[in-house]
Amino acid sequence: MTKKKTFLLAVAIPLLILLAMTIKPQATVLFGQEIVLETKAYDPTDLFRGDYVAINFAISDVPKSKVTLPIDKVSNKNLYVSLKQEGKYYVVDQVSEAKPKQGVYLKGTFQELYNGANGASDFIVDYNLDKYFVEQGSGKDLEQQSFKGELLGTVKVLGGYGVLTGLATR
Amino acid sequence: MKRQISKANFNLVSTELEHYESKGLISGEQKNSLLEIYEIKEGLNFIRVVVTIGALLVGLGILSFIASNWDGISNLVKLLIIFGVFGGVNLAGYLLSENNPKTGRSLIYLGTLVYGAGIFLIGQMYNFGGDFPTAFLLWSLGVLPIVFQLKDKYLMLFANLLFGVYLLGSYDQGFPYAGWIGVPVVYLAFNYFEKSRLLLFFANLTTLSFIFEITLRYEAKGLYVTLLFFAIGLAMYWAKHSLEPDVFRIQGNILLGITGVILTIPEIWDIVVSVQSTRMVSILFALAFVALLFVFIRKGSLISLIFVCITIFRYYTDTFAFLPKSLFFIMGGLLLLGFGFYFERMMKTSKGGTIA
Repeated sequence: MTKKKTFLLAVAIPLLILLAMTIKPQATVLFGQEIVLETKAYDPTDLFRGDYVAINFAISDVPKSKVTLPIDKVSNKNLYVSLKQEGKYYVVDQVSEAKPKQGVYLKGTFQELYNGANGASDFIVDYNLDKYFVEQGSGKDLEQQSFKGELLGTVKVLGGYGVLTGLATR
Repeated sequence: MKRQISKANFNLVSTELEHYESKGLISGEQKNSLLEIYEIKEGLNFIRVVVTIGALLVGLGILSFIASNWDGISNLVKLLIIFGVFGGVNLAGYLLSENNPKTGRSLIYLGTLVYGAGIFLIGQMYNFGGDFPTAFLLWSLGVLPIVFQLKDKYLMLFANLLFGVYLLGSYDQGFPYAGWIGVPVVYLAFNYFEKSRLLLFFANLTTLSFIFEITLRYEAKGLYVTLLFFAIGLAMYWAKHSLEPDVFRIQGNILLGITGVILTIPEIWDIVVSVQSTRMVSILFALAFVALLFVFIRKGSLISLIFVCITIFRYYTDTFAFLPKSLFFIMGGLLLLGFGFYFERMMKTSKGGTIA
C-alpha cells in the first residue's frame, strides 16, 4: 500500500468508529417502541458532554418480590426486565435471565440495595438511561420541575436496548 | 545508526576528546572518528511547540463547544460539522506535510481531538447513561491507526493516556476487558517506536492500572492489594534486565515508597491480626521499611530519601502525645547518628572508599 492509501485508511477508521457508534441507538430511535416512564431528576455537569439532567426512573427500583432467581444469579448480573403498561406509564412486570419472547423489555445491571431498617433488600437496576443532556444552564428548570411535579421520560426501546429521547412534565 | 545524545552531552564529549588530543592520548583523526558516532538529538523546536499548542487550543475549543450543547444548531448538523472538520484538517495536514511538516502534523493532532469531540457528541445525542469510559477506549482506538501510519510517538503517548483514562474510569462500571489487548499493544508500540523511554514509562503505568483493576474485580482486600503493589515495586527495582532498567528502577522505587507508607497505617492490618496488635505490626513494618530504604539510599537512591522523610513526617503528625513522640524521635535520631558515625569510621579504617 502506498503512503497515501494507508493515510486515507488511518483517517477513515475513526470516522467508521463514529458511524458505528450511532447505528444501534439510531436504529432504536427509528424503529423502537416508545414508552413513557416516571422519573426523579437533578442537574450536574460532565466535563466532556456538558450539562445533563440525572434521572432515576421508577423502574430502576425493583422489589425483591418481582425476582424469582436466586440471589447469586442477580447481583451484578445483566438481566432482562419485562415492562407492562399501567395507565399511562410502564412499570416492572417481571425479571428474567433469558431474553423475553415478546412484550417490552429492557436489559439492565442489577445491584442489591440494602434498607438497614427492616432488613429487606430491593434491587437497583442500571439501564444506562440515567442522563439527559441539555444546553448549558437549562438543566436547572427541569430540576425545578422535577421537584414540583414529577418529570416523565420518553424512551425508545428495541430488543432490550433503550434510548432516552425526551423529558417532559406530567 | 548514530548514537543520539543531547547537545550539552555532545559538547562535553567533544571538549573532553579535545583535551585527550591536546594531551597526546589520541590523534586528531581518532577524535573525529569518535565524534562521528554521535548525533545531536533534536530538542524542543519552537515552531513545533507553537503550532502544537495552537492545535491543542482549537481542539479544546471544539470539545468545549460540543459540551455546551448549544441549541442553535441541531445535533445532526453538529455531527456533519465534526465529520467535515475532521476530514478537512486531516486533508490539510496531509497536503502540508510535504512543505510545512510541523504545521501539517499539528493539524493531524487537531484531527484526533475533533474525533474525540465526535464521540462525546454522539454520547450526548443519544443520552448514553453511566460514566461513559468506553468513550476513552474508542478515542484511543481511533487514534491508533494514525499513530502507526505516521510513526508519531507523542500521538502514541496520547493514545496510551486515553487508554489509561478508560482503565481507571471503569472503576465502578464493570471490568475493563479491553485491558487484556490494550496492555500488550502499549508494549508493542514501545518496541515499534525505537524503544522510547517515555512510552515505556507510560506503558508500565498502564499495566499497573490494569493490575489494579483486576484486584478490584476480585474485590481483593486493601492490605493484599497494597502488599501486591509493594512486591511489584520491589521486583521492578531489583529485577535485572536490559530493558531500560532506569525507568523500571525509578517507577519501582516510587511504587514501593508509596505503598510502603500506606502499609505503616495501623488500620490496614486489621484483617490479618487482632485490632489490638495492628499498631505493633505497622510499627514493625515501618522499621523494616525504613531499613530497606536506607539500603537503597546507600545504593544512591534519592527517591528513597524522600520516602524516609515522608515516613518520619507521617509519624510526626500521627499523634499529639508529645512526650512519647519526643522520646521516639530522639532515640531514633541518636541511633542513626551512631550508626552513621560507626560506618564512617569503618570506611576510613578499611579504606573502603566512599559511601555512594
